[in-house]
Amino acid sequence: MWLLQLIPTSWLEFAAVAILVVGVVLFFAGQILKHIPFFKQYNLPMRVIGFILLLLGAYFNGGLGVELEYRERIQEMKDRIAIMEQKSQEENVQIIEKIVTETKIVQQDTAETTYLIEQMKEQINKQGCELSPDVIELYNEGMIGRGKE
Amino acid sequence: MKLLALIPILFLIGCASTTVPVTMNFPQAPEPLLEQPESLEPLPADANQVSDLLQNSTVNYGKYRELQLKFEQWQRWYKTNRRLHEETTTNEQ
Repeated sequence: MWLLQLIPTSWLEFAAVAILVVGVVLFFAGQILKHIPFFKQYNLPMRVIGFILLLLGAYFNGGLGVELEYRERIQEMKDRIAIMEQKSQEENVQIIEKIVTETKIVQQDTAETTYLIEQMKEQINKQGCELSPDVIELYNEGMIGRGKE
Repeated sequence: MKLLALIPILFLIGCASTTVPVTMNFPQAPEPLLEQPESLEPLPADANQVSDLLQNSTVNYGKYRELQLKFEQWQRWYKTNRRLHEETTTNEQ
């Protein structure tokens, strides 16, 4: 049935009704005309072909109603997905803007603080508290973990 | 004429054989959220002053704040996309 997706709706409607009508006409014409001498020889093929077309027409008409309903729902779903993708994209843009803006602020903060520490270096170190290698090692272990990458 | 009884049966079979071929792509996360996080900077072995420790802590706190920001934005991205997904699929029959 997915092949039906490729055919325009108006064509499908026309084809389904046309097959059904031709089937009905052929089938009942075969029934009626079987008593007329000239048509008598065509009676059986007309009825067989008419009956097959009648069955096909019934099948297509049954499927067509559902097909049209599904087309409507598919379009509705596609519209919703398009809206969702657009909103998601807009959100991504906002997130990127926020990250870029706030990262700059954080980096400025860090730079200002490190600059202040550099300026106040003598004052800070005046207490005479020196870091021993053990302190540095412990500090680094606390930061990167004891697994030592 | 009995064969005509097949007509309503075929009509109903035709009704029942349609599927909906609509798929939804997984939303793309913003590029900055997919970057590798920076590692913290260890204190150099030749650092022996408190100011060195302060400098190092400040730089690492900055890195933590950057990661915190990205983590919060990950949560925001997830919540928004989850809400959008629910809004899109909730009324689907």
